[in-house]
This record gives sequence, C-alpha cells and structure tokens, in this order.
Amino acid sequence: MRRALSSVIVHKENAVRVSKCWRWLAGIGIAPLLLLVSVALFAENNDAVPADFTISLQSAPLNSVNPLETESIVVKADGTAQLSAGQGNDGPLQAMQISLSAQDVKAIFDATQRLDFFTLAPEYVDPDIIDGDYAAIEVTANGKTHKVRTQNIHVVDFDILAMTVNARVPFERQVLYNALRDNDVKKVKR
Amino acid sequence: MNIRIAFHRLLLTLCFSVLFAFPYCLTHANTIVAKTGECERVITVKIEIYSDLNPLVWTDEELAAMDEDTRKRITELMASHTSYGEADLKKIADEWQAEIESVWNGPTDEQVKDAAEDLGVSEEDRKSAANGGNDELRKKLDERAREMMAAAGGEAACTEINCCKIYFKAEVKLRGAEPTPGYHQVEVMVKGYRSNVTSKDGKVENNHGGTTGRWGYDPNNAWDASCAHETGHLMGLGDEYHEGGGNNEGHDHDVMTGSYGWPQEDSLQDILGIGGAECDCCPKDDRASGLFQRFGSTYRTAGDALLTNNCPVLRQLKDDYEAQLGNAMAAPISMTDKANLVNRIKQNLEKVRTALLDCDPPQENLLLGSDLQEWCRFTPEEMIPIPIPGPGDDPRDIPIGGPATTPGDSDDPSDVPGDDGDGPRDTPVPGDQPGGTPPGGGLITVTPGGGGGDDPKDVPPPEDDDPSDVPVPPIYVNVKATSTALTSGAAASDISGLQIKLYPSEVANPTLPAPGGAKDTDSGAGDDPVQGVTGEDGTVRIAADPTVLGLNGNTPSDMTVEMNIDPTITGLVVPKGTDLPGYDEPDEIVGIGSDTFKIYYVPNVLAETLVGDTVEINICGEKKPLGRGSYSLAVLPPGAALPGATISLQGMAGGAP
Repeated sequence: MRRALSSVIVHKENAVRVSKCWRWLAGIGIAPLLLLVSVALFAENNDAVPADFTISLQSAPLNSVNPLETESIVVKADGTAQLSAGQGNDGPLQAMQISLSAQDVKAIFDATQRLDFFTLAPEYVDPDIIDGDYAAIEVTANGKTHKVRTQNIHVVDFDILAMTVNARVPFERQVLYNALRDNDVKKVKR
Repeated sequence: MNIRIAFHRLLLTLCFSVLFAFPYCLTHANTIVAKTGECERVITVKIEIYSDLNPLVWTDEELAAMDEDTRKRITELMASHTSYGEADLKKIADEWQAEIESVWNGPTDEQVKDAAEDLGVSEEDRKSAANGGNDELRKKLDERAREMMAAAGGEAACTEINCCKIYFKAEVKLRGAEPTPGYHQVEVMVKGYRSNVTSKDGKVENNHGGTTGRWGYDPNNAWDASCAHETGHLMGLGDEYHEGGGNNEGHDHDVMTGSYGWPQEDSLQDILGIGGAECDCCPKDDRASGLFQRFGSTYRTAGDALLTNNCPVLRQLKDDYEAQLGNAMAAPISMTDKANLVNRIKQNLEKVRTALLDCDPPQENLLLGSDLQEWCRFTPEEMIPIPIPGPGDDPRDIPIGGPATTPGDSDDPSDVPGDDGDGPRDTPVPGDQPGGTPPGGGLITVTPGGGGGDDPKDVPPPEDDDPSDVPVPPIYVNVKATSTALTSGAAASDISGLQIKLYPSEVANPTLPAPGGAKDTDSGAGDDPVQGVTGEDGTVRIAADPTVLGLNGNTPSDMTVEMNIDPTITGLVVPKGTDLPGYDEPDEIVGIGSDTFKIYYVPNVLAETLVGDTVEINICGEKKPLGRGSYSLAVLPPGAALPGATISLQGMAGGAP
C-alpha cells in the first residue's frame, strides 16, 4: 500500500518534473513566437499605415452653389474621421467626428495600395451628361498626394475605394454619388 | 435597266428620308414654341417619366477586390434602392408639372429683384434663397413678386417679357410600354440622386440635345426645384454655373445657375429664339424711364408733405399718383418695369390716402404757397401759390417734372395750371391765386370761414366741442418777413410770396410726425398750421384761434411776428459723425426725431457743391420752439434756410381789424 503510494508519489514527482520541463521548453519556444506574432500584428496594424496618411472623399451636385450640399469624409492615420453635415432620412445631419479602428484605417490604406490609386488619372468625365454630380478622392501617404475627380462616370477602382471608405461610417453618413447608385452610368475600369 | 430603276428608287427613298428627317432634326419636337398671337407665345414641354430599378451591379471580380466590410455595405446599399409604382409616378408627374409651370410661368429673376428691394431683402440673402439656403425666404420673395405682377395687371398663368405673354405648359405623363415619340424621356431616380439630362457632348444649344434625363425624387421634399432647372435644359438652355464653383456674371439668382433661382428674361428670349418665335411688342422708345422719372420727381414732395401732414399738397399728390397709376397700368412697358413702378406708386398713394384721413375735406380756393416739386425749399423769390385744380383741370397738369408719358397727354409737364407760361417757380402772379395778394400789396387777411384764401384749418374748434364752451374770437397775427442779408451786409429787405406757417409748441424740440403717422395731439405739434403767404411788403396778416397759439386767458387781439431770414444762405443738414468738407464746427446741432444732425449755414453758391450722399439741403428744417412759455411759437417753415430763422413776438398792439 505504502509502496504503491510512493510509486504514485514518484509518478507524481516525475509528472511535475516533466510538466516543469515542458513549461520551460514552451517558455523558450512560444514566447519568441508570440513576440514575433505580436510584432507582426502591430506592424500590420500600425506601422504599415504611414503617419501622414490622409484620405478625403467628397461629392456634390455639379450645379450646387450651396456649400451645404457638399458631402465629405476625411480619414486620418490616427483613426479620426471628419464627417460633413448632410441630409439624412429624418432631417439634417450635423457635422461630426468619429474614431475608426486601426484595422479600418489599415483596410482603407491597403485599398489605396491594392487599387494603385496613385496611378489613376486625375479626372474622368462623361461629357454627354449635363448636371449630375462629381466625386473626388484625395490621398496623402509617404509625402505624396494624389487627387482624382470623377464626373458622372463609374470608374471601378475609384468607386471601390470610395465604398471602402463609406463602409467604415454609419450608413446615413456615406458619401454617395450617382455612379454608386446607377447601373446606367457609363463605366470604365480605371 | 432593272438596276437603273432600282438605283433611282433607292435614290428617291434616300431623298425622301433626308427631307423628312432634316426638319425633325432642326425643329425639336419635344419642346414646341407656338405663336398664338402677335404678342403671345405658348411653350410646351412634353415629358414622359418612368421608373426602372437598376442599381449599380458589381461583378464578381470587382467584389473580390473588396474587403468583407465593403462587400457587406454594398449589399445594404443595393437593398435600399426603391422603385416607384404607377400611383407614385402619377403623383410625381403631377408635382413636377406643377413645379415646372410654377417656375417658368412665375416671376422672372428681374421681377424678384424688385420684390426683394420692396421687402428690404439684401443681395446676400436673396442669393442664399436662390441657392436653396433659405426656403422660407425664397417662398416669400416669390409670393411678393407675384403680388406685384398681379397688381400691375399680370396674369398668374403666364410670364411676360417684352410686352409679350409667354405661357409655359409642361405635359408630364407616365410612359407606357414604349416611349412616345415627341416626349422627353425622364427616369425617376431615388432620393439623393443628382438630376441630370443627357445630351450630345453636353451641349444643349439650339435644342439638339437634352432629350432624356434621370431626375432624383425626394418624397419628403414637397419642392424639388431641380426639375425646373433640368427642364431649362430640355428647352435648350445651357448652365450658368461653373463646374469649379461660381457662376457667370449676372446669374447669381438664375434658375440655370442654382435650381432654386428664377428664370431670367434673356433665357426666356433664348427659348423663343430657339423655337423661331421671338416676340417683342414693347415700343422702341423708353417710356418706362419717363414714367419712373415722373414718379421720382414727386418723391421728395411726398416725403415732405407726409412728414408735415400738409393736406393741400397731399390732396394734389393723391390726384397725381392716381393719374400716374393709371398711366403706368396702361403703358406698354415691360412687366418688370410695370410691376415695380405700380408697386411704388401704390405704396406712396396708400400713404397719402392714409395721411389724408386726418385732413378736413378739401376746400376750394385754398391758398397753398409752395412749389410742388420742392415745396419746402426756401426760395422766396421762386415761391408761387398754386391753386387746387378746378373743374376740368387735368390732374396730370400738376407741375411735376419728367416728360409726358401717356399717349395723348401732350401737356408740357412744366406747365402750371393758370400760370403765365413761365416755369413753375415764377414769381406769384396775383391773378393766379384766388384770394392771393391783393392789388397794391397789402396784407393777406385770412378770415375763419371766409371766402377766397381762407384756410379752413384756421377756424376755432369744431362744433361738436363742449357746447358750454364760449366761442373764442380769432386774433390776428401779423407776420413780417425780412431779410437782413447777413452775408452780404446789405440792408434788410421785405420778402414777399413767402409762406408762413406757425405751429404752436408747448414742448421743447417736438419730434416731427413720421410719414403717415398719427399727429402728435398731446404737444400740439401735430396741429394744422396757422398759415398765410406774405404780400409784396413782406407781411401777412393771419387770423388764428388764440387757444391754438397758447394765448388763453390773456388774449391779445392782434400781434406781430417778425421773421429775420437770410435768403442768401442755405442750411445744410449732415448726420452727426459726418464731416462737412471745409467746415469745422456746425452752426447748430439739432435733433430730428431720435436722430441728431449738424446744421451748417453756407452761402447758396456753395451749397449745391457740398450736397452729396450724406449732406442734404435742410429742406424742411425742424420745429424750433422759441421757449417763450405760453406765447412760444414754433415755425415749421417751407424753406430750407428757415431752421435758422427766428421768430419773435414783437408786440400785441391793436385790435381786430
């Protein structure tokens, strides 16, 4: 009984030793791994977005002489997003500022890279349309600024970026323009 | 042979095709300008509307290029799109038709400008209204302009330019299975969609384009002004705004700049021109200017007469304004000018009529010593009594500046009824004024209730006063007007033909009654004047109620007032805080109403050179109480220099004549 008991104790002691050993080994092996993963995540969430990153999305009717009809969203690298005043379903909307997560900012920045925004032409226009509206996106990153303006035309890469920004703000606060609503608008890839 | 025949048939077919197609291309069937009269046009715009739910569709490849959140948002956006059913479309068609016709048959930008001036709306605020920044003000301006047009005889159902009636008709209906030829095709889009029309290369000139469109509709917004702007394109008009911001000069409030503006008259002419049916029925001579000039010439007179409640002048003004109103309504001038002029005349006429309610019924043979153009300017040598027009006199003969403006009115506007053929500022001619200066140049005696020359306002209190009152006999005030010619140092000389008005004043510096305002019955400052016109010896003898003169209980039967005036000097009035170039300290500082003014006395020859925006001739002066207790009198003279004049009671000798 006692032997048996000591045997159990030995096993237990061995088990403890084995357990400590694994913990030590795990500590050596996993900690750097976790560190690497953490660093990688941090780098992905923050370091990849330049500190000077700013994107502004703006739209207004072409025949608007009323500044209140110009809608805009301006997002900065720190996650602050300025939303202009506008017209909601239930009445006027006041200008406001919200905070986007680092992941949201990163998603927007990544879209600018993925869509190669800086190589888009400065302007796209359908000359057959009178009135209607325009949209403009201006991006600043790594000391460079590029602005693209579209007028009554669906420019796919431009509009994907616009919707990427819109997806990060409340539905009523989106900056929508005709090309994002109407399938009959003339379409170009980029 | 067969080939030749076939070729000829083909050629013939081609020719017919060109013949039929060519006119269609030149005349735009969707906007029709019809000449329905020599001075009448009907512009018809035909529009078919439809709804076709066709939101933006993204390809799989495009969706793959998005992150998950973006794809999710696109799904939500597509789900939010709505289409309109037949009932909705019918309602939209009715609303758009009403709005298009309201704007294009409504006031023009030029007419709204006049309405804004009438309402005292600033240029900045009007611009804000035209840009959609102030719906309430836009509505107010629109309504006022319509009121002004209606008052000038304009029809609500049309607009009017160049003396032509222009009727706009918008036929907005639902599209059937297929588009109807001859109708602009407009797709009704969701709320927030920015309306547009499609045209070749964005050009709508000559009406070759603008045949289709997509217009947003907001069910929560009763007034969707963009449909009127887009209809302008359908009728062949271009935009007046700049895509980078701003607009063409002179188009700040144009409906072709911002959707909330108003059509400009040039735009209406362009539409008529595009349709090949220009219209101009106004006479080539500038009759409007003549009418405005005539109105302007009475402006100051009216202001002064209202301020002093000068009943005789007010009666003449009433007649004159009524004549001007008739002339303006009948004149073949543009509706914009007509509405503006009629509005101004009516406003002044209303003020005059209101002021006349405080006057006694008109009396014949009333003496009125004034020059109707500038009746309160003190120019003794030019003063002329003007009788009230008698039976048969044309009220348009009232000596008012400006050219004759009514066909058939060939009178020289400078004519004065009964004058000797000279200008309106002629020296008084005895024969011209009933009860005027008697031959020999004696005193003018104004007897209460008497005949020629009496001022009915000089009589004692009316009969409905307390019957226990004992009638107070009139006293006689002898006024002598002399000039000491202060600047020239010349000897004093008598001044004849000068109107004298004596006002009692029991309070210091009484405020002047506002135009059209109630008389100040508390202080007595609003009482009608004791008045008369000096004769050749510079004197006038005026009968007056002693109680009016504040002489109760100690009533002299006769007294003399001597005025010491200098006709070589002109009084200038300058707002306090404004300098008169070349002059340091003012001669006087006076209060007129709640404002303070500086009075400078300058030689007449210099006065005209100094008059400007902030320097005016002190035409009417102000009441100047003399501070002599119950005997004090104030003078409200008809002359500019009179604020500096003094009146003193010289004595009370003599009895009633």
